[in-house]
Amino acid sequence: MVETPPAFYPHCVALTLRQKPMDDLIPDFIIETAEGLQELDGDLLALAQQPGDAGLLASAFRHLHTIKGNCGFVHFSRLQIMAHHAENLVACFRDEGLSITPARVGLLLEAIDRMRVILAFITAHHAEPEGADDDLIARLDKACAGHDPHTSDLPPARFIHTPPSYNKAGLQPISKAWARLPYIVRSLSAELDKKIDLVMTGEDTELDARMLDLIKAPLTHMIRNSGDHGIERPSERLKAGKPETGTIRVHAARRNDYILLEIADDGQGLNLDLIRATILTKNLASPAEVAEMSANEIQQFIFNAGFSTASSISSISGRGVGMDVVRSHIEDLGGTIELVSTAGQGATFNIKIPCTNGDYAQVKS
Amino acid sequence: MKSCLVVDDSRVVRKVARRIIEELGFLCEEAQDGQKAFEICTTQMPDFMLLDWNMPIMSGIEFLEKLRAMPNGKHPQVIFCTTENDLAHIQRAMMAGANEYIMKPFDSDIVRSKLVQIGMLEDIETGKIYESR
Repeated sequence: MVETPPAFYPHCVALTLRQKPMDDLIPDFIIETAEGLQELDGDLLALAQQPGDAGLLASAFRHLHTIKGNCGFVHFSRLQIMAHHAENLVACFRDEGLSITPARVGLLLEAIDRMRVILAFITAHHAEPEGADDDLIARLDKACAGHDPHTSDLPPARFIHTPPSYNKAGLQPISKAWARLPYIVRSLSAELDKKIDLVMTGEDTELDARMLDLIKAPLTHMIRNSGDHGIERPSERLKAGKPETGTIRVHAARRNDYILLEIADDGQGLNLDLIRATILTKNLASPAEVAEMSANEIQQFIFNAGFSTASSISSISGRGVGMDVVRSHIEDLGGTIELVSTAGQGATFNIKIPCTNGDYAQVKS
Repeated sequence: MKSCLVVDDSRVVRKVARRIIEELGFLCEEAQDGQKAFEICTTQMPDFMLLDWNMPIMSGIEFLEKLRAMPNGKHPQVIFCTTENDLAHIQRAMMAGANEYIMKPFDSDIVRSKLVQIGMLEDIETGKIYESR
């Protein structure tokens, strides 16, 4: 899909009209962008711990700038706009002395994950996915304007790991993909005004270094989904007789050649009535079929292509990116995803992925 | 045949640029940062170059300043490549000795017209053949 870029790229509009798309550039674009996103991740985690490091700031800026610039050549405007707004925030750190807080780092990591999801789609289809990223863009812009309600809170020390070393072959502990999660949760709780505790277990579970990078985006989306749609506001939780602070548990274990990942929250669970209504509105099944389905069958519909809407339970706060995209991302990795939800008690996503995936690294063309 | 050096840390940009430059009938060399570009210039000074701003190791502006201080370093025509939000940098690049600039993403028409402006190509409209052929 070649979208018309917005008005703030006037020269791109002109080029879109008269330039032939350079399709054979896309494989190079995918490889270079994936590398850039990987390095950005390392830069940002290191920056969170050394906020004054000008070299890291320059490197993060440069990677975003390159991604944005390259998007112009292949006409991927959605990715370009995301990179543009993320770059602006890094520029605010660099040029305007905006302080580098855990929540802001988490926000940038989310932006990077959104770009990863879009890139995964591009890898499979050589076109951008439908959708918009207005939510994330608004938050990035707000952060540039100095909004950061939790400036002084640092994530608990037990979650802070040394930044992962990248491009190493072989098996690596999954904790390297988890170092970012406390920042994501920090950004999420600040945004939603909820109290969320993150508990991670099984962090020594090892998987292929490449897979490690590829699961980052789906993991972030799962966490966001749990925080946004699962965990209730503190007042609602108290009313329901639950502790004010919600908990998201992430657990990893290895079984033969597979990694089992569990992301569980103690929130409200999925809203079955809303899912049923959406199934009917979207004509995904007939009323008679819906009446026959078990609760669990109904729940799995959130993974259906095109299920998510701005108001639905599957929108993962990122209105453009639904659970269908997460599922297809996991399936691209040769894995599966399932959901178990109990009303009032929470939801658990079970992901199973192979610990190595040699084929995926080769760009499909 | 005249030669061009493309200096950019992005493989994608270098690939696009090389294709355009070669189609226009020039030889094309590539460098991924200012340091590599400098090394190439010490052995083989190109006739013109497309130069990126934001690169690791040695930035475009640092390289440009070093280039202009080299013996024969005034020879290459330098086209500075930029994106929409470093307009402020263009002036600095021109002060440091760039001859022209182009905006990314560029295409064949844009590069061709800049090369005409800096005298590397004859204007196709006049029917003259390219100077480089």
